[in-house]
Amino acid sequence: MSTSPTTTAEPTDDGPGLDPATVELLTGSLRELFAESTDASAVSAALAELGWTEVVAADPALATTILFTEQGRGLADPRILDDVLLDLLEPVLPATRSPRAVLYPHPVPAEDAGTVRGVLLGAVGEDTELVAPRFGADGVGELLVLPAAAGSSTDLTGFDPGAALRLVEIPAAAATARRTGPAAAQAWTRAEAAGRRALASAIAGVCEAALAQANAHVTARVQYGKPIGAFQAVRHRMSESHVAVTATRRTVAAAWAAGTDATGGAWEARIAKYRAGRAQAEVLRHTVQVLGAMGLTLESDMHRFVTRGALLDLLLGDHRSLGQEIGADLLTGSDARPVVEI
Amino acid sequence: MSTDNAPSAEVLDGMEDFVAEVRAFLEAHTTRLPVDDGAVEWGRGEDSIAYFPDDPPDVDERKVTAAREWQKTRYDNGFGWITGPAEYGGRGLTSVHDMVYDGLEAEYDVPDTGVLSLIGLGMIGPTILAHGTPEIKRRHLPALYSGQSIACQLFSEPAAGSDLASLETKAVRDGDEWVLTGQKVWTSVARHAQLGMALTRTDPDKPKHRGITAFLVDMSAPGVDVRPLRQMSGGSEFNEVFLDDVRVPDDHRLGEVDGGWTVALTTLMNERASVGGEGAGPAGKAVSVGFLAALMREFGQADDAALRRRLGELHADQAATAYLNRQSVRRMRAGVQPGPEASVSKLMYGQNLTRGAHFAAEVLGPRLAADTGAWGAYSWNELLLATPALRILGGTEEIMKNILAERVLGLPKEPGIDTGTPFRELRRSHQGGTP
Amino acid sequence: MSETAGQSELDDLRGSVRDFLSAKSGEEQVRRVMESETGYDEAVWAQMADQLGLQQLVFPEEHGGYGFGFAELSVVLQEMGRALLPSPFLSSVVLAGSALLAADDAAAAAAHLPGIASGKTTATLAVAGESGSWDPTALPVVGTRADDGWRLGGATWFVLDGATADLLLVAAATDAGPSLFAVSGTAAGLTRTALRTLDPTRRQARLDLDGVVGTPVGALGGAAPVLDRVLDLAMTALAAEQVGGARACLEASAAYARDRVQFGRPIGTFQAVKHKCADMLVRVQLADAAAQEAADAAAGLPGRAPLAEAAAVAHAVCSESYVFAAAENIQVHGGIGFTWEHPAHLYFRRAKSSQLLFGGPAGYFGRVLDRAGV
Repeated sequence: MSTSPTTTAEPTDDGPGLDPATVELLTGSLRELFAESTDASAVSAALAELGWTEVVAADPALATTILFTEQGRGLADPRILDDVLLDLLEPVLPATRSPRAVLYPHPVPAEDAGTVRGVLLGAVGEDTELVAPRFGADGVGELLVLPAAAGSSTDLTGFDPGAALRLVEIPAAAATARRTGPAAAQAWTRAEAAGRRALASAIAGVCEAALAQANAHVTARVQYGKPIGAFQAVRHRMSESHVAVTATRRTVAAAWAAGTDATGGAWEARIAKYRAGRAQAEVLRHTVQVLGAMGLTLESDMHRFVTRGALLDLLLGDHRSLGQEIGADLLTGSDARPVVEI
Repeated sequence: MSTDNAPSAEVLDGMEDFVAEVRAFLEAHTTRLPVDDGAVEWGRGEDSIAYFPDDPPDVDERKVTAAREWQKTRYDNGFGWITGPAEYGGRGLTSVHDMVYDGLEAEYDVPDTGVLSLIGLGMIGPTILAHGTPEIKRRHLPALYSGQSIACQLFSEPAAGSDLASLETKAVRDGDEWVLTGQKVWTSVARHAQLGMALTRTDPDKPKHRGITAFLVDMSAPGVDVRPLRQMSGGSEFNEVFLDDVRVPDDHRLGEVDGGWTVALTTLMNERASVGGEGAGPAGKAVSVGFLAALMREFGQADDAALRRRLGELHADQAATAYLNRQSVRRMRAGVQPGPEASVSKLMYGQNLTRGAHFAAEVLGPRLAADTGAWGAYSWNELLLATPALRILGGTEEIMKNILAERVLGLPKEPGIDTGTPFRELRRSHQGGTP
Repeated sequence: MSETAGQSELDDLRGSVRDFLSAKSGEEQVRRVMESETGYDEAVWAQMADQLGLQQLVFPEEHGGYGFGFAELSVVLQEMGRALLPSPFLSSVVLAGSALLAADDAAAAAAHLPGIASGKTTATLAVAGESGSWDPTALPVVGTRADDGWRLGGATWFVLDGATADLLLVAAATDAGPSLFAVSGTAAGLTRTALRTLDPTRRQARLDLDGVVGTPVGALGGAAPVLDRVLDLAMTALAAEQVGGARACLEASAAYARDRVQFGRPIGTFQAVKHKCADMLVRVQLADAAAQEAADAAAGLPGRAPLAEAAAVAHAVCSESYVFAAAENIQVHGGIGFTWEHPAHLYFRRAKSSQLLFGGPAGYFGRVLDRAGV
């Protein structure tokens, strides 16, 4: 693994690939991009200028990984996640000229079965179409296209004030299009897998940024005549955090490598998301602790990493729920293929 | 319930007259609270379990006024300073009497006097008593213990946290006065305080512990500027205090010139004694087994075997911590020197509260992070975001473990920690304060 | 601790037991004895009774005991735990002894307690089936009435010192309900198989009973409350033993950290080691407090938690803490801690197997909640 702070990606064997120098350049550009343009449309425009579509075509795994890692690191608008899912959902949906956004399943479904409850990653215009999965007893029942105007949307009083999430409730009957059957189910499965891989990378980015800040702090802060980073209690926390983040990145890379089956690598993607979710809980506890009292104030940025990490964990399956699902599947005889060979 | 804080029968033994006196006072001035039978009423009342309060300023102000008034009532009736000497308004009784009083008062509806007592009365008052001149004691002790005056601690600085002795705030002698310049941080109650106990650097050519002097600062003096610090858990219990050429008369010096570290130790040792009261307050109650079990039932997880097991583990540790605290009290009552129990207790307190909060997070799952409006769910964030503070404030866990290992187990100190070098020559962070 | 008045006597008791065990059951002796057939040194066992009166300590005077209480018993058990003494003390004195007392059967007490108290009779209690759980409603042995008394049949497992005990108290399901029976160690129809154990310092056996003669102890069908009582006292006693062992691990780690030099300085100057030792100290203090509360409750001291609660808490906290301390002790010692020749693994084995007695973690955490009314 490279120790250079600008190279966050793992090389892959697929496609024409991107050479390390290009990757480094791209990573740097992305970092600037996210620092400058924080809202979704500005990001999209800047990505287009960068010729991002070609980059993705050259190496989808690497491109997506570094894009989302930098998005996480920069605490940027999470809305670019929609593109990842829509890319895989669009083939089964009717064509449209309206903008579309993904309505992510809310962890707590609506009590009334006829209402779809979900989360938008940002405010949308009245003409936007929302794409939402609706679950039957055994997985995805259907994919719905719903007009944003038909729903009630409220500011989601979430854990992370830095992300402008919206809670949406919308009657399923208002759907302008409905897709059922195996094709729809598979499309959602693949989209969810792709989304989970992206989120795992974003979480890794958040953790890396938090660790960089923690590292800078423990190097500069002197107590008892030496930098506190010289004390073993601090060093060991930093090491353990580093291991957690590295493990996450390796798991994401392995998830991409497996992503060619019919489910789009769903099993591996779920494990990567789970690993990332656990990592952010562990790493952010360590970084808060080594920052000492200063990390507890709003003056420090650390709390933003804490809340963003928790939010990203929540999307498309928080690590506690995923852990239970994975465990249940293993116990019912599911094919327990290892994601990473040790 | 065996883990509550009511004084036990053996602590009360022989104290019948005092108990009767306390009860008579309380009955005359306030009303008894309804008995808490430990039953959990889900959905009732405020679902706030914030560890640090996040009140708007007017509410905060009202609470402080109510606290002062109650403290005055206690003082006027002989319960303002139970262990203090009579000549300064105290009762001259023992710390066991103190505990008995607190246990009885907890049954009554009285304002929370923490803003006065945790620091001012519990730590600074005893320091003034030990190190102040008779004039200073006369001037300040009755005022403190009658609620007129609130005191705060001006100790930590941006570059001097765990390593408090490396503090940099200067005090320079000018005739009968000293001129103080520097920046203090993490000062609780500074906004309401009339008095501040400040540690200053008076001789940078001596080793760091030996060039410190302690002063009592009038918080309304020119040059004192208090600014709140906002916490990530919401609320701003703590403040920064800037001292810009603040003049302090020499008669407000506590202890000898350059002898301030000894004075500081008196204050800090009393801090250890202030910690405890586990199980008290809404946060403590919220991590109790009854409450957490109700949480599990409410969110459909009462039969989850893995959660039940963790709940059992949590409760076992909480119960054992309560036993440890009771045993310390018993030993104190019997005149036995305390051992490391207080530090162990503090570490367990932080751990128990943190684990309880994380357990609740596990039960709540996604409801924790995205408010669905369900009562008792989202408010856990207040506690969850405050839990890192428990392992940092009042002495980090790391430092406490160092102290336990070195003082109790006799392990050798970190090498290179030089206590003999003149302060001026020490390596320090370059953050804030004047060098 | 008890009232200060008794403290110096307790200190004296601790001192005598510690001196005795250092001389008679030091590490070398423990290693030798743990390989022996019986698993304990019969001469030392006799000396414990004759010289120190340890077996007699807590039995009533009318049965040849000294009438002391749990304060004294705790001290003795802590020292035995510290020394890893291989002996049938827990099984004879605590399990069988308290069963006989709780059964409220004067004849049985008169018949068996003097022998146990004098050390001449070793005894144990057999309750669990293959699952290892201690459940009076699911006893693996069945008692059937015969013309000339009772016959027992079935298999009971994990019987402490079951292969060597002179007297076996066996819990059996009968048509009257769960009942306790006294069985001779040499009874016909009884097959005793020593089990290979993780902890060589504590022997366990499986007993197979085939028409074995048993004499009822206490009221027929009345064994459930007896077993509950025994379990509470057994957990309390075990907790004291676990604290003694955990403290020994802590002291070993602290000593090693002070003395062992690497990278030019004692390893105790490294914060990771320092904090590990501090963590051990915290757990040992907590375990000590929990064991103390249970012992005080067993002794009937006022103002303590009820025994049922305190015993469950003590069992849980002391089991977890001892395992933690023993594991960390190996870690502090580094490579050498992992060798057969170093005593650290013996403590680890004792910690681990003690943790698994009476149903293990699932058992003890479940009991903590049940007794807290959850």
